[in-house]
Amino acid sequence: MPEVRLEKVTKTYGKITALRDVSLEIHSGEYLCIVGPSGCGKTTLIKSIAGIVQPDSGETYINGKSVTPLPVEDRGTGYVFQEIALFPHMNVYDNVSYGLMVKGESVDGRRGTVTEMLDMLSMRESSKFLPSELSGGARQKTAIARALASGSTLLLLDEPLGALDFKVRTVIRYELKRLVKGLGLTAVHVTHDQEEALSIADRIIVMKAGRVVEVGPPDELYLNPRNLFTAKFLGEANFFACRVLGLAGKTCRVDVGGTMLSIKRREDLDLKPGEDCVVAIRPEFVKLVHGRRSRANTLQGTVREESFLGDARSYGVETLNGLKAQLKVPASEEEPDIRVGDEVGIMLPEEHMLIYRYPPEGLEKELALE
Amino acid sequence: MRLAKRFGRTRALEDVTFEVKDGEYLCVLGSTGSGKTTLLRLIAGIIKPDEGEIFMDDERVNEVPAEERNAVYVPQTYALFPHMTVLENVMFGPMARQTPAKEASEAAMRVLKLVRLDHRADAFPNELSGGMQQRVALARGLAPGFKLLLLDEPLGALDARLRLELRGELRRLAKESGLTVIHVTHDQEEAMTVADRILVLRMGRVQQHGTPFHVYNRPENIFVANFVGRTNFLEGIIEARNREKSTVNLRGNLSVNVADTSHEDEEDVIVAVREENTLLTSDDPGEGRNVLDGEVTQIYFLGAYIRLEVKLRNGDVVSSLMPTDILLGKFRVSDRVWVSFYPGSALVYDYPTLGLRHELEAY
Amino acid sequence: MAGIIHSFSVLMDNISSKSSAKKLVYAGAVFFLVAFILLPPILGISFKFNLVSDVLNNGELMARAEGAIFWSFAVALTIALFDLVAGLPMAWFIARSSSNWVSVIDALVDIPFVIPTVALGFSTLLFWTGSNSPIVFLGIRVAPGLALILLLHFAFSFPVIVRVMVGELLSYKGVYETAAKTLGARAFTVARTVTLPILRPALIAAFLLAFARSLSETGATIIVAGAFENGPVFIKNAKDAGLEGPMVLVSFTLILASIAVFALIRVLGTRLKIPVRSAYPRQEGALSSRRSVRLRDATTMVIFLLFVLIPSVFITFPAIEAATDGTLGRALSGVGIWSNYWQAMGLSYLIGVIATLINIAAGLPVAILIARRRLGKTLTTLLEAAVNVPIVVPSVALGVSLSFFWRSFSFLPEFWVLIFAHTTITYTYFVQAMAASLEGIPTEMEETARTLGSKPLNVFRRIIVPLTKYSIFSGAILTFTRSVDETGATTAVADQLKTAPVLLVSWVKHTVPATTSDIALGISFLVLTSFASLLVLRLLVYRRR
Repeated sequence: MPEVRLEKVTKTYGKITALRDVSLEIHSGEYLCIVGPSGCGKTTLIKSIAGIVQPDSGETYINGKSVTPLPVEDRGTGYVFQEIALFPHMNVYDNVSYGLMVKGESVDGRRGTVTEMLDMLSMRESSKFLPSELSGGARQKTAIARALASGSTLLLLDEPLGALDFKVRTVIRYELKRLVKGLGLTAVHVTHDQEEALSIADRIIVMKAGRVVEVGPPDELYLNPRNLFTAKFLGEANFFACRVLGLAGKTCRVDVGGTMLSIKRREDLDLKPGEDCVVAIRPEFVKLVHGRRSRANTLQGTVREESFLGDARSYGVETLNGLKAQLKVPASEEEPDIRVGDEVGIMLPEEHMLIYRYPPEGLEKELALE
Repeated sequence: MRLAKRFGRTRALEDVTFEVKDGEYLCVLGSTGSGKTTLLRLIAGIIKPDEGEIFMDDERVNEVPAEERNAVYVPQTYALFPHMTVLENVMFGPMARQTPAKEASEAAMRVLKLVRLDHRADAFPNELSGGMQQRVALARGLAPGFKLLLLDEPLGALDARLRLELRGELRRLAKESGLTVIHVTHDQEEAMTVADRILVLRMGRVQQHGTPFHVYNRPENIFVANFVGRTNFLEGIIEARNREKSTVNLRGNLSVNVADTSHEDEEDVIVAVREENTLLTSDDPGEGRNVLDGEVTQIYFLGAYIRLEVKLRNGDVVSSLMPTDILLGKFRVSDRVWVSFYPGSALVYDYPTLGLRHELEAY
Repeated sequence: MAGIIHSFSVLMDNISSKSSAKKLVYAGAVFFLVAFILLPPILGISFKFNLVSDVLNNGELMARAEGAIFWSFAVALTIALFDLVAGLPMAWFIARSSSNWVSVIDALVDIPFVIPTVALGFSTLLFWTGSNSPIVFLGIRVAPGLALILLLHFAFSFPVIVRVMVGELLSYKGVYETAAKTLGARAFTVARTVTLPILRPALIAAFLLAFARSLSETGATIIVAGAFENGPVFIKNAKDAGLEGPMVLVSFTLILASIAVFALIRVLGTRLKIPVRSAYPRQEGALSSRRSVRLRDATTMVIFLLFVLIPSVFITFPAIEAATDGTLGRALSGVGIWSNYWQAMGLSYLIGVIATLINIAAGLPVAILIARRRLGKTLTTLLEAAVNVPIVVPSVALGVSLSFFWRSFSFLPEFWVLIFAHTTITYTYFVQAMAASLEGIPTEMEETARTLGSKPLNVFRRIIVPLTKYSIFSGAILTFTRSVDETGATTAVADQLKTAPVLLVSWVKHTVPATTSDIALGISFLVLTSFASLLVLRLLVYRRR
């Protein structure tokens, strides 16, 4: 089972730097997801592991061996393309057996492995169909089967579910992970869908503009992101510029638009009083408080927008000191009793608030997705 | 603008009839092949219906060519004219209607300002990012001043995260400009967030037409209940019935009560409960609710929510979706749990003739 | 004035909205196709069909006729095959190699394609048979006849294969090859199991194009044929002898047979299933090695230089000599045979321009019909087949038929018969080029433009034309060049009037007293103008990139 290591890999295309000094490790048997906005370099990254793209500098190791000089056909990595790329002139069976055929296996020798793969993905009955005769989901499964059947233990997946409809995606992604884990493979799955990554990854790598922003398990990256961009990209968040007032024990006090808030202090961030910072809180953690009781970390404001999300309702509240906050409240089946124009209090629980240094290039630029 | 349509058998749509009100934001929701793009193109006048009529403002427009329908079509690929600048693209509509160049240019700049792209007026489409191209396509659609906007998967080409950000803007823009919008999508979350009303299509037929609240809380059939939102489905038979509730016998002799009384005794039914209404507790919650015990088989972290898969005593599998801060760290795989839901949370449907599996599929 | 133009264009725009106006334009174009392009060849033959019986009774003539027809097809099929085998590695080199020589070779490969075939014929003749040739110096002399014809046809069909395959290889989605490589396949295996099977339609198309070119070519073949006869040579000889019967018989057979062979190859080619069953990693790996690739490229270059390029440009030597030995002076002052020459050049260009303009006007609507599949699947396929007829059928046979047809309208001057003949021959090139280019514009663009309020004519003017104008230009240049180059139909049709290439053939055959210097120079002028067209085409293409 391979362990992959990248050391300071860089790749430029003319004026665009797709990968900037990227170093990372992929552990044996793990299901790793790489997420990031368009153009962040995630596809270039797995292409360079596969050898499809040659980095300008840096080293790539698979199982401790340097593969940097090796061409694609010698690297032994299974790749599932975003465009799926099934051979249009071959049926499902031939597509899946291609990897074995190429290694010189006889027609009989291949049969066992190929039928096993097809069974695992429930594609046995479709084995005589051409790609053009299959649905999007079936094509996707065939592409995965083809990569698996070639015998590689490292699977590289480029937006493998991109061609599928919303609903179908949310179901197949678990099947994919189950399959990979069941076979004991290592998978690197690139996606722009952060919810997809959160739901199936063992670890997530967040990238932006050619660099690795943060790495970690889903719950950690979601609940305690160390980087501002991670907080923004994985899920939704409210961001408020603020200034550090003081630090005491496990708490940090900040001034947000004239109001004082208490935040759980971060050990890894050495903030000084007077320093500019940014605090963030996810919409589902902001609580509605009725009445005008003054409580810690509570702001008063007016409801400006409201929308129904099915299992929840989203409210946009503008506070008295000019902050705009989004809340997400689980929906009940009756009509809600909060309307646009109502005056409400919102509470920002200390334990769910996140704090960051103010980004040198400005908040908007740091959070930009394009 | 009111729109009514009646179609007979076309290859893509069958018997589709509905109305859109002036200034309404309608989302047509369906998966690939449901006919939603065909619907849009019929309204735009790009193709003709085999049967049926289309009315705009009470006028029959079946024979009116596309260029005279006053409805702008924005395809999923945006179809920006690559040989023209952003400004020239946006000016195209007004110019095509004989507006003098100077006026057209001013109108175009006004709209570009609305979408915050006035500073890129001289750029060519291929120099812009996906999100920017989408805004140019919108601006181009707004410039001629038509009242009806037809959007085919307007956010489909964009990143998931970007989509989240831009959908609110889409609706805001439409409302500020007083437009009627028909927005086609396969993303039910998107539809729920932006629409005034949703039209759900499946294999060319209308499944339901109503507000997001209505479609979500009172889905008319199993397909809609599954397609919109996350739902658990359990097979059962009506055992007993009184004026307030029915008792359903699930597989393995598990019994639940539901508030629905419209089904007869001995009828085969499907009980549907939303995953967020399927609550999880570590001990018996007692009276008032339906309680089923089982074992946790999977735990999924979804960010704001955690989803647990539970295998009930009778072999059925249900999922429970609950906010992260409530569930985090509370359960582990193979823990024994109690799953419960209120009788009022359950929806009951006739057992489908073609079987449950078939109903759950989009095609 | 501007106001009038403006109102006129508004009027035209509004008219274009009406479906009746649109239908009229398309109907007119299809009518032109049927009435001017398709029917004349079919009917022309039938007018003189009674003459066939004379030939059928003449044993000697029949033997000659059968032989000529047989050899036309035998040569064409063999050549297309050889060219495919030799041309594919060249196409691969141009499309895939990272060598610095690629653009040079790319340009060189085009030369035999662009040079008028008359020039190729004479150049080939000089290279393989002339006393000044290095080959002859080494003791190898290929006499005019079958062998020389094979060498000639190999040279001028070679670029056809390369051109088509380079285009396909460049536009083909490389992701299939990458996918194969990630599954462990070496380069040769990938080519054999993935690339070539996927490109099979292109291979067939290239094969058929080379086949058609060989079958059709007249002028150069006459130059190198000697006493040998294939179809076109036989027809020319029959015409010179005043025997219409044999002309009709052979033309008719050639037309029918070529359509049949084309259809057969097309259908069989796509149906033939060659399953990919096994791979031989070691051997194919060796074939993929750098050394093998270098060997392959070297062999390809040698074949190209020796059999294609040098024979094609060999004429430059006598041409340079002609420029210095006084011939140039005589040529430019129009002395003796040269006055006819310049007349002929003028005629060639005039015909070329008129034929091109007619084709643009009549061909564009048909191209739109094909590209946008407005008539539904079956009718569009039929239309495409109809459009393809003029290049499937040998141009000399087409010419014979056309001349019989149009001459029955005795009031029609020969000039116009020539115009119609050239229009027919070149029609396909323009329509195919335009249809391909139009298919590249997504229909959504037009649809969206219409919903923005733009009438169809406005959509055409402001969207379609700007996006296809390079294709319109290159289609026009292709058509023009082909017309100037044309020898087949012109040979069959012309009595009094001579276009430049036909005139030059008569110079070579010594029916007119002309020295080698005269011929070389005359051909060079023709070549230079073709080169000028090629240059314009290249510049257009590079500007696009």
